[in-house]
Amino acid sequence: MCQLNCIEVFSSAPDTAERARYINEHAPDCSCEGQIVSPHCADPIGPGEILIRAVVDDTHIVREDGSVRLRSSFMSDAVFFGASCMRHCRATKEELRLTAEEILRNATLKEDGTPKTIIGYVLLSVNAIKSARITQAQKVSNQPATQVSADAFGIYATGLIDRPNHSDIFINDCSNGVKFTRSAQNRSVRDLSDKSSLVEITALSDFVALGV
Amino acid sequence: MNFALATSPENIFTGNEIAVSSERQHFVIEIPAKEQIVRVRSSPYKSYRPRCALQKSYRSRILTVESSSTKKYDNVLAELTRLSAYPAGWNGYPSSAAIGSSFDLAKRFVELLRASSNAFQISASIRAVGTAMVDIQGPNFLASIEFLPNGEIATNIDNPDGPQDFDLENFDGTKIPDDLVSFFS
Repeated sequence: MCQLNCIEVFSSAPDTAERARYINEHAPDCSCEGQIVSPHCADPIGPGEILIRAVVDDTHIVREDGSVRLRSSFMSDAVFFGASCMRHCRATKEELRLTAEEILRNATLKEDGTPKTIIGYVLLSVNAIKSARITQAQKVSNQPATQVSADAFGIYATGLIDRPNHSDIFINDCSNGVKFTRSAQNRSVRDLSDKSSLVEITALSDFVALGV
Repeated sequence: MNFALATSPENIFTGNEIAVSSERQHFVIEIPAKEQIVRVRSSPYKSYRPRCALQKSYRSRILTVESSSTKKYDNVLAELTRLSAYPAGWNGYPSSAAIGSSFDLAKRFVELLRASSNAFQISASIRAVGTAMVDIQGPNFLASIEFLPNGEIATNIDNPDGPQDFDLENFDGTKIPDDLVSFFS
């Protein structure tokens, strides 16, 4: 697929929970990965990169036996809206400040009426994300069931006009004509969340300080 | 009051390895000072350790024992109720409002589990699209179940036989689907 088509796919994708489905439908099997998908960023995501993703709602966090882990809900955006991230070592402090501002502007209030805040962040390795596989048994007529396996996620440099180092992670919901089930997608999301470690912060400046 | 020998990870043990729990009640046990009382907590399936390695000593002579069989189900039902009120945008990132029918099905499933067994640890969460998810840890499995508003449930189970993923249709909250009964009974 040529670069122009990929930019068109991403620019025409709706900003709704249907965004991932639309991108998978128009660029199946992560075919726009490695391509330019945004007019605001000329560098596709490369291997070895690290992505930053903020944690806002504490429902994503489980505290038990003195440890903290993330629920699979944290990365469930990848199945619908795309899991929004910033590119570490590329995004500036100003980009991260704008990211934090947008997140907090869009977030609803807590149940006690106070504003939500960014409670932590996760550093996601592109190599680790790309090593994840989505798998599903496939039965064709009278043949024995076979395993269909593909990259679980596509990672795209979805730069924005004011934040050129923005990126998105999307589930790969279809490969070679096989549509992956919701449970197969959920497993990939759960595995990715399990691999992610939360870094808790006490001040928004800790998040902004991740910028260059 | 009748006590039963119990084997779930939430039970209370004395130094003599006698476990006691009561059904659906909160109660207080006074322990003689010379005896040690320990409490066993659950751990994630993937890092499951022998029971003895999980024991933790308590110094207090008087413990308020939370009856796990009732409280844990009440807690997860309350959490589902809390999450079901989440409005759009709850996540900061784009996120849909909680879908009431999804949370209703999740609550019915938890009620079915309550009637089935007390041996599970359960927690609830909300996904970006507003659906309810319930995580269930049993003696030898870990299950995650997402409840879609159309009655479909997307299930991931890890057990000693390996991972199993399947989507089941037409869950209406009246009974645990046949494909899951063997795990949850």
